[in-house]
Formats: sequence, structure tokens, C-alpha cells
Amino acid sequence: MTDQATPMVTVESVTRTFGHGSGKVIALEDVSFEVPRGRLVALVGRSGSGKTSLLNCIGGLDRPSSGRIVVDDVEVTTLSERRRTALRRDTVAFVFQTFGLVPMLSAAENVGLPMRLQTAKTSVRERRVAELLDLVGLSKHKDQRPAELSGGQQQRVAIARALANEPRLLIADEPTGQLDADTGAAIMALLRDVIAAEGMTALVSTHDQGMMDIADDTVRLADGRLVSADDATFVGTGSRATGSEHQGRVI
Amino acid sequence: MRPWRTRLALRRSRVQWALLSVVLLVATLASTLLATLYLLAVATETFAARAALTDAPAEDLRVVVRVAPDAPLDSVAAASQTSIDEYFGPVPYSTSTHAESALLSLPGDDEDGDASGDITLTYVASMDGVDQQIRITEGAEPTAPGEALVPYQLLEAWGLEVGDPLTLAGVFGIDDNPPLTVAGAFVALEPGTDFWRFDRLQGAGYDPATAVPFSGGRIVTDGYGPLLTDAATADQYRVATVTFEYLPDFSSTSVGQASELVERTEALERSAVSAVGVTGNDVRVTSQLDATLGAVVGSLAVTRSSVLVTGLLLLVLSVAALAQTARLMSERRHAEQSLMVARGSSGRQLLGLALIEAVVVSAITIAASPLLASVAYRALASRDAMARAGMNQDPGIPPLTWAVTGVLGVVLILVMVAPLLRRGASFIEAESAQARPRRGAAFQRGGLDLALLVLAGLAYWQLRSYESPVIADGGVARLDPLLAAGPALALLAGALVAVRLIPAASKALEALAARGRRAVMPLAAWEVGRRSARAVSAILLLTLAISIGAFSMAYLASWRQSQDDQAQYHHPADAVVTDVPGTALAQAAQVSGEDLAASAEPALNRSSVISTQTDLGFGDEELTGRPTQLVASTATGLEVYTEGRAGEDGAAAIPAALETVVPESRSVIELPDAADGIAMTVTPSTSTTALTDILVSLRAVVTDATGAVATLDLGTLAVDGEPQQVEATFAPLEDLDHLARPFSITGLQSVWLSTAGESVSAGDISAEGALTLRLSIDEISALTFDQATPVDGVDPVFAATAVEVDLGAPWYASESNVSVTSLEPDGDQLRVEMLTSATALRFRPAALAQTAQPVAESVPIVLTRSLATRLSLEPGEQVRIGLEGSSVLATVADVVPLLPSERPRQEAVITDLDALQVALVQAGAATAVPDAWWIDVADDDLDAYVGTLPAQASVTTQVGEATALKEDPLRVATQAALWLVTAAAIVLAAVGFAVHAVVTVRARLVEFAQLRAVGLGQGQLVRVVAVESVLLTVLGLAFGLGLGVALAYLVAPLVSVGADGRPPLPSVVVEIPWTTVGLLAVEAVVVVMVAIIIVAAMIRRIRPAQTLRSGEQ
Repeated sequence: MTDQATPMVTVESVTRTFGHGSGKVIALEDVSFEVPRGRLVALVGRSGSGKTSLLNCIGGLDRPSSGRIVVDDVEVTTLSERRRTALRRDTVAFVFQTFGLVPMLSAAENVGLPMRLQTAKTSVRERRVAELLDLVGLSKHKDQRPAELSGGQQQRVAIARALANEPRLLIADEPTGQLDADTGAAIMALLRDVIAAEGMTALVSTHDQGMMDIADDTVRLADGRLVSADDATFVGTGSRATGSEHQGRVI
Repeated sequence: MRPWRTRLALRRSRVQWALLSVVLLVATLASTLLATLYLLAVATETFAARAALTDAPAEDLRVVVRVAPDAPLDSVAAASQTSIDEYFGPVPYSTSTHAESALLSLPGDDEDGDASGDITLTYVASMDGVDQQIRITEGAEPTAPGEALVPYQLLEAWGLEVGDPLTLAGVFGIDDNPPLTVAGAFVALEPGTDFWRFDRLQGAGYDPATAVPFSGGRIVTDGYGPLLTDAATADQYRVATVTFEYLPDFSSTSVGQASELVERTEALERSAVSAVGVTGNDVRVTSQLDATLGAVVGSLAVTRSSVLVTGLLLLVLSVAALAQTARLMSERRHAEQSLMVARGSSGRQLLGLALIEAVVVSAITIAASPLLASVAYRALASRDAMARAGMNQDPGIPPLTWAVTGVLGVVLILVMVAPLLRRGASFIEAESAQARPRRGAAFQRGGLDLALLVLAGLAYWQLRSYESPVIADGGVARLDPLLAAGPALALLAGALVAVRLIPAASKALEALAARGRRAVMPLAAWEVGRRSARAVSAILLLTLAISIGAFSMAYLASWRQSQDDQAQYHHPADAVVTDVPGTALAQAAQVSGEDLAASAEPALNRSSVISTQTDLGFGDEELTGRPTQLVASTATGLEVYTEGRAGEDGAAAIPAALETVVPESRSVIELPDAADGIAMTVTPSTSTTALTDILVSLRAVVTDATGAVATLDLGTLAVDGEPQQVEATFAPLEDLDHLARPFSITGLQSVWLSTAGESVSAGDISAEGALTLRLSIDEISALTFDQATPVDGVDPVFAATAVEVDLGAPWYASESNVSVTSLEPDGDQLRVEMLTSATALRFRPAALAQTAQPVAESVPIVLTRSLATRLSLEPGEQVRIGLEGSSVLATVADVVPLLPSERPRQEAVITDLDALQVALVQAGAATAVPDAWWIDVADDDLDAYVGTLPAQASVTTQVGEATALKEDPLRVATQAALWLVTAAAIVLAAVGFAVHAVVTVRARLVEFAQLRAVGLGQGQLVRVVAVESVLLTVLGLAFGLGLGVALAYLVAPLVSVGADGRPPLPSVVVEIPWTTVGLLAVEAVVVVMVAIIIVAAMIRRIRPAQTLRSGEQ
């Protein structure tokens, strides 16, 4: 039983460095915050500010160099490779800027892929795929392959695929980064709607003001450090927000 | 060349060195293998051809010019050499001269005086190299003109001493010759051998039955010779014949020069006769050289065809491997090239960049491959079979090797730049095409595969029509490259048709896999089915490699089996022994093999005459008809025709047709077990004393324990009414222990002739009318050798044991030119009275044969189809077969398609030897002395058996023939080429597949990272790739094995030609070596496993976050 009071994501003093010696790059430095359940949190920052690194660490695609990350009461940072794979399969879903669809599969097959990984019954999978494609408005395009779809359509498929296993946490890394403004807005609206509909928590990195506007909370990163958080719980010690942007709760 | 382009190419090469290394590796490997095959062909053309010619027996190489000279020997030799120089051209040769005088007489008596009043004959000869062939028993070699070495027998018989003069006269004393001085005496080291073949007495030195010239062979006397002198001395006597033997030295001859010799052969006889004819008469030129050279050139053409067939297969495989590698490279660079196009690079610039890269890789390949091929060839040639064939030599790097690798280099350039030559598509179009690639490849859409299939069908039809890629061109076998290309075309067409089936097969797989709940199988099936170009290239390479491997192994197994079948067909008996000296019974004793042989059956294999004219005209002794080969053996011997492929192909009908029920024989005169010979007292007489010139030749017919019938010559007696003692042993003393005892006397032959012949006028004969011939035989006894061991110089002593004769009914009699009037013994043991006339006797001998066996109406024979067709004969029809100066009536019992023998297509008559021998006896002829013995002996006992044979005997074995066929210098390359191609198929398939697996995984790293991001585990990802590889392998194996086996059945019988380039006999039966083919499949599985292990390691190193980030960038 999940305690609704506990945050969906807890990031504690996370640091991520790449390389060694003079080539060492600090992607994240002592970042701490919490994301309560059911919230759509926007992760904001310039390119290279550490957004993708942070999302990869939260989603179990990468391990922080130090610090602790808990997702849905599970400490991700100590999980084995196999358990992290299970986490991505069952709890967390990704939406990438480049969509990340398997080029040889149709829209329906791409959406159904996570369910195959859960070995869901064929009938259940087919029904769910149909629902999700309907949800993202692509029922008519279910047999088309990614390269035969527009960018917006591909991202819709990617969102539908992310929702397939009913994840508790949706991580979207600049989902509108490759889309024009209108399409990006539409995708953001879609994301907001489906997150609300599925009752999940979402952490979305973006440059998009629209997204920030519709987000419940905003977390800002600059040069790998947390600079502010709106309603998200700010847990930083070393990384502190400045000015009016800092509205988080300091533990 | 723009410098920036070169710099860019260099920079890209530095970054992508691994990819380029793979391309270079595959190209160098393919090019090296092709160059090795070329070196193998070159080595066969030089080393093997020279080895074959150098190893050929002298009799197959020499050219012999024989002439009765009218001019001094020097002039004759010079004339002969002129024509030979012209013939041999650049081929060096050695000359050997043998000059021999006509027969001369040695006046006077020998020491024994038993030739008193008779003429003694001799001859003078000069023989090159004779000093190496004789041992001087007395005196020394001649040192001065007029000196001679004489046979030791002459020295002993005539009591000559060194330094004695020898006066030689013409046979009738008409020549006035200078005397010779005896320098010494000699004995031939190996009389009867090839060196002595031109010698009148074959090196024996003495012949007591030398026919006196102009006596028609009826008068014989002592003959000694040769009296060995130098050429100048010999020239002073009347040189009857001079023989020049020219032996070419082919140790440095090219195949082209050999071919030219074959072409000049036709003109040789004409030019030699023309040149030598002015210095003498009766010029004869004989040589087997053209046949030998023709066989070598033909065998080379056959081997060339095998090497070309396999080489073309290898070329197809190499191009496929290169194309696959180039395609993978192009695929890897797709994004890079798209980016360059997007940034404004023109197609020409991209092409130039690719061209620089391709030319450099190609140049390295061209430069390295011949050197590597030379190393590879030497490794191949060090194998035992190759070394035995004289191939273990360094052929160097012939200039054409660079051309071979150059061709592949050009192909490499083409396949590397070809992707850039395609019609330019926009970036978006290209991306779209990547999303949903067409299932059919470009060549399929263009119908190229179907066109190739039609072309292959045509080539195959042509090949079937010609039955061989080697065609006879003016008597010389020649390779037809178009026909040789048939198998490669068939392979390529088959592989491309298989490729057409791949999308259908993968779609079925895809549909099947998609139904499941899990992800691994569907992901793998989708990859194989939907990225069909990628899958097709891997499956095509695997299909080609497996099919070439399976075909090569099947071809090799079928070829080897065919050599065994041909050996069995050419040589039905386990071993055949020829040149056994002595009579039939003596031969039987010598080949018995002391229990090592299961059976040793006599056989005839000689030229005879067949005539459809069954009635002999008056006075016809010699049958005239069509020359044909006669083959005969006993019923046991003929059983060899029931065995193996020979039997399956119709020869089994031979013993079946010749199996006859022999009527019961009458009583025989049984001899005691210990009998070694027979003796008897014979009294021949006539009804008149006026005829004193009548002789009777007597032969006893004896049968041994095996039923073999033989005649024993008892001598020729004067018909004078006087009792005369005659005797004969069954075999020489040293062979008596091995005879098949007991013997029995089963008949008697007498031939009566008047030596006066037609030259005697009727007035000389007082009795013009009926003439009674009477033969009384009594005191028949068995002779038994009375000494433990024969002692040199001591006459053998035999003990005689009287033999009882109780025939009951007289023997069957068959007569010629005479009528039997009485067979009553009348107090003797045997007695016969016959009636003829003196006139009839003068024209033709009278002959009577008495045998225990009933007189056969005719001998059953089997004819080969070619002979039956030529003479329009059907089973049941009668013919006459001429043999041993006589003839027998025969009935065609059956016709067989071919006769298993060295010349299966020859016209031949086959019959039962025992039946033939009895028929010959009844026709008044002597039994035929076997030409050969067919031995049934286990392979393991073969060497021991051969050790029991006399030194003069020649032995050929089925196993030896098979080995010779397989390991002939000219044919070993076929096997080497097939092994090389199989190894190449394995290596190229392994490298190609591994490259495919690694490169495709590298190309899909981002995709894999995305799959990992959505929850696909590492293990699952490895399984996806493993299943993909297994699917590719299963499809490749299925198509490859199917195609290889189909190709083997369709093509192997057509390309496994005989040594003469014609379809072999018996026909080739395709052998699929399933174990070896299974090993090929295992090899494919091992390659897949290795590839999976490599790929698994790569997948484990994937860091999804970094990969996704780099992929996005």
C-alpha cells in the first residue's frame, strides 16, 4: 500500500559527475528536492544545466555519483541493473525529446511494446493500445511507422507508449523540444490531460513557458545546481534557490 | 584531386579505422583466396604437367624411327634427326641408336657337334647404352674397330676364346664380310626388358629355335646374338634395320609447347618418311607421345574446368561478402552522409570522398593478396597428396595473379561506391525509405534474379547437352569457359531466388511471433522481417557460403566415389597380373599366391577377329573379319562383372548369359597326385611308305584340379612307323609345387602335315588316293620329379609311373581335313586311324582332336552394343571368332551396353574361357595362354601377394588404379581447389556473419538504449539479437543446404568428368557427405554463437543514458 503522503520522488544531495581529472564535468551538484504524488512538475533550466542527467538518474537510466534518489518508496540508487530495468518497465515511463520510438514498429506496436515486456495478455494489450491511441488521437494512424508520422504525431505515440503500463511516474525530457510552438502546446495540453486522467506524477523538463504555466510546480536548475522550486519541496542544503523564485520548504 | 577531400578522407579513416579494417580484412581475405586458387591452377599447369610427363614411362614418350638403310648410318641418322628437330622444336631430347645386321651364318660346328651340318645363325649389332645393360663374363669391352662382345652362350658352345676371329657369312654364303675379333663375352642383366625390345633375341643371347630365313619358319636352328660392336663396325655388315629412339625431356616444357607438339604429330610421320626415305626403305615412325600429350593436355583441361568452376563459385561468394561489407559500411554512414548532404555536399563530392577511400583499400588489397596467396599456396601444397604430385614448389607470383586480385580490387571499388551512385533521393525520401524498406531488393524489382535464373537454365541445358564443360577440339580436350560458368550461374540464380523467398518466410515468422505475449521473439522477427535488406545480405552470404560448402563437399565426395567407381569399372578384378612367363599351367602355379589370394582366374584380353561368315571356305586357315577385342575368363573370373557399379550398369548380364550347362564329360586318364608330367610311347604311321615328309605334332590335353584345360606340347614327330618316346612336364621345376593337383589327361591332339607342301609335284607321291593316318599310343606314364630341390647344371630326374587307361567309351573326336575310321585301342592304350588323301594333306594339315568333353556346337559369347550394332547381330545369331591361328563357332548369348575395362566403349567379345579353351582344342588349336590373371585378394594381403609373384610379372590393382586416379598430379588440384573453396566458404561466412552481427548492433545502439529505457532488460536484449541471428542462420542454412544439395545433384555429375574430359564410366552417382555437410551446419552454429557472445558483450557495455544522449545529439 502506497502512502499518499510520501513524495513520489525524493532527491537527496545528488551529484553526478562525468570524466576524471581535468576533463571532469559536474553535471549535477548536491541537488535535493521532493515531488509530491499526482503533481506535474516542470524542470526548467538552460541547455547543459543538468536536466537530462537528473531525469536519467531519477528514471534509473543512470546512477548518481553520490546522493540518494527514492522513487515511489524505492531507493533507485541502490537498485541492481535488473531491478532498475523493472522500475522502468513497471513504475517509471519516459518520453524523450527525440520520441525514442522503434523505427521498424508501427504506432500500435510501439505503444504495445511495454505491455509485451510485462507479458500482458494479448487481448488486454490490444484493448489498451486502442484506448491509448484513441486518447492521443491517432487511432487512424495505428499501422504507420514513426518515420511516416509527423513529429507531433510521433510524440503522441511516445506519450501513449509511456502510458501503456500505467506508470506512477512519467518522466518527459523536453517533449516539445523538436516541435513547433503550436504542436508543442498541443502536446503539453495532451500531457496535462493524460496525466490528470491517469492520475500519475509527472516530471517534465522543458524550456517551454506554456509548460511551466500549466505545471503544478517548477524546479529550476542552473549549472547542475538547484536554483529554485515552486511548490515542489525544496530539500537542498548546498544548492539553494535565490530570490523570490525560492518558495520551497527547507528541511 | 582536391587536397581537402584527401585530408577529409584521411581524417575519416582515422576515426573509422575499425570499420575500414573490417572492409580491408574481408576484401583481402576474398582476394587472397581467389589468388590462391589461381596459383593452384598455375602450379598444376607447370609442376603437375611436368611431373606427369616426367613420370610417364619412356614407352609413352619416345618417338621411334625404324628404317632399313641404304646409306651409311651417319647419313640415315642425320636425315632422321632433321625431321625430329623440326618436330620437337624447343623441347630437348636424347637419341639412342640401335643398328642390327641381317642374320649371318657362323660356318662350322659347335663343340657338342649336335648341330652338325646345320646352319648356325648370328647377327651384329651396335646398341647405344648397352654397356649399362650387360655384364662382361669374359674379356673386355671392344676397344678397336672390328672387335665384338659375343653372348656367353656362343663362347661356350663354340669354345671360343678372347681374341679368336669370327668369320661371318651370309646365310647362303653369298656375302663376303670382314671377320670380327672376339673381345669378350657378355650376359644381359635383364633380358626381355624394354632396352632389349629391338634385339632379335630380346637379350637372351641364344635361341635354339631361330627360324632360318626363307624357310617360312618351318626350319629352325641355333641362333646367337647380338655380336656387339661399335656403330662403324656394324655399318660394315649389311645393317638390316636401324632404329633411332628419341626421348624428349619435358622437365622445363610448358603446356603450350606440349599442345603444339600434339598438333605437329600429324606431320611427323610424313616429314620423317620424306627425310629418311632418301637414305633407306621401309621407314616406320611409331610413338605414343601424341596420345600421352593429348591425355596430359586433356587432364589439364579437366582440372582447369574444376578449378574454374570452383573459382567462379568463390568469386560469387567473394563479391557477396564484399557487397555485404560495403553495404554495412554504407548503412553506418547513412547519417553522416545525410548530414553532409544537408550541409551542402554534392553527390560528386561524396562520390570523390568514397572513391579515395575505396581506391586506397583496393590498392592495399591488390598489393597484399598475391603475397598472402603465395604463403597460402605453399601451406596448401605442403599437404601430402600435393607433395606427392610434385606441387610442393614455389610457383612465385605470376603476373596474372596481380590481374586476378586487380579484378577483385575493381569489384571492391564498385561495391564501395555503388551506394552513392544510386539515383539521388531527398533526405526525407531516404528517411521514409528507411522506415518502411521495400521487401524486395532492387535486383528483384528489376527482375534481375529471374533473368539470371533463365540464363542459368540455359547454361545448365547447354552443360547437359555437352555432358561436360570440357569439349574435344581437334582431338585435344579444351575447356569451354561458358559451360564452366554454368554452376556458378546456377548457384547465383538459386541464391537470388532463395532471397526472393526470404521476405515471405520472414513475414510468416513475423506474423507467428507477433501473436505471442512476450517481446523478444516479436522484436527479433520484426527486425529480420522488416529490415529485409540487412537480413537479406546476411542470409544471402550464409546461403552462398553454405551452398558452396555443401556443393563442394558433395562434388568432392562424388568425384572421389566416381574415381573408385571408374577404377572398379576399368579394373573389375582386385588385381590383374600380366607378363607371367610360361605356359598356362606354369602361370597358374606362379600366380597362386600361396593362399593369399581367394582365387586367381586366367583371362584372355587380346585382339581377335569376329566374322559373321560362319562357314570356312576350303583352305581357309586364318579367319578374315572385323578385328575386335576378345575378353575371356572362367565362370569364377567373370563374376567380377557382377560387382559394384559395373554390375549395376549391366555387366552382371555377362556371367549370367555365359553360364551354360556343360554336358557330362567322358572318362579321363587320371594321373596320380604326385604327377609332374606325362610320358608315352607314340607310333605314328601311314598306310604308305612312299610319303616320308609327313610330320605329326602331338599335344596332350590335361585338366588340373580347378578344371583348367591346357595343352601340353609333346613335340613333332616324323611319321615313320617307329615308336617314339615323348614327354612333357606341367610346369618348370620351380613351379611344380604350386600346381592344382591332381591332373588328368582329358584329350589328345594330332596335327598331320606334309612338309613338302604344294611345291612337291603329284608325281613325287606314289599314293595319290586314300591315305590312312594311324597313331598308336602306349606306355602312358606319370612323371614325378625325383629330387628334393633342383640343382643348377644337373638335369632333372623324373620317375615314371605307369598309368592305367580305361576310357570305357572313346573320347569325342573332332576332325579337320580327315575322317576318323577307328578309335579302337586294338592292344594299345590309345589308337586312332583316320582317312585322308595325300593331295588334301599337301594343301592343308589334317587335324584330329579327341576330348573327354563333348564337342561343343558353339561357344556362347556376349557382345558389346557397339560391336553388335556394327555387325547387326542379335542374341541367338552365330559368328566365328578367330584365335590362336584357328577359329571357333560362337553364338551371341547377350548384348551388354559396355564392357567394364580400361576402354569400356570398345567393341568387344566376352566369353567363358573354359568353354573357349575346349572349343580351341576341338578346333585343333593349342589352348590359349592366358594374357592376364584376375586375382581376388583382400586389400590387406595385396602387398604380400605381390611379393609372391615372379619378377617379370606386372601387377595392376583396383586400389592402385583408384589411388592413381585420385592422386594423379594433374588431378590433385581438383581436390585441393574444392577443399580451398570449402575453407573459403567457411572463413568468409564466419567473417561476414560476425561483421554483420557487430556492425548491425553498432548501428542500432540508440535503438537498443531506447528499448532499455522502456524496460527491456540486458538479457532480453541479448536474446533479441540472438534470436535474430538464429533466424538468419536457420534461413541461411535451410536455403544454403537446399541449394547446395540441389546443385550437387544437378551439376556435380556434369562437372565430375573423366580424365579424358568425357562423362566418366560408370556415370557419376552423387554422394552427399552428410557428416561433412553437418559439420558445415555446426560451423555456422558456432559462428552464430561466437557472434552472439561478441554482441552480448557489446550490449552489456551499453549505457542507455549516455547512448541516448549521444544519439540525440
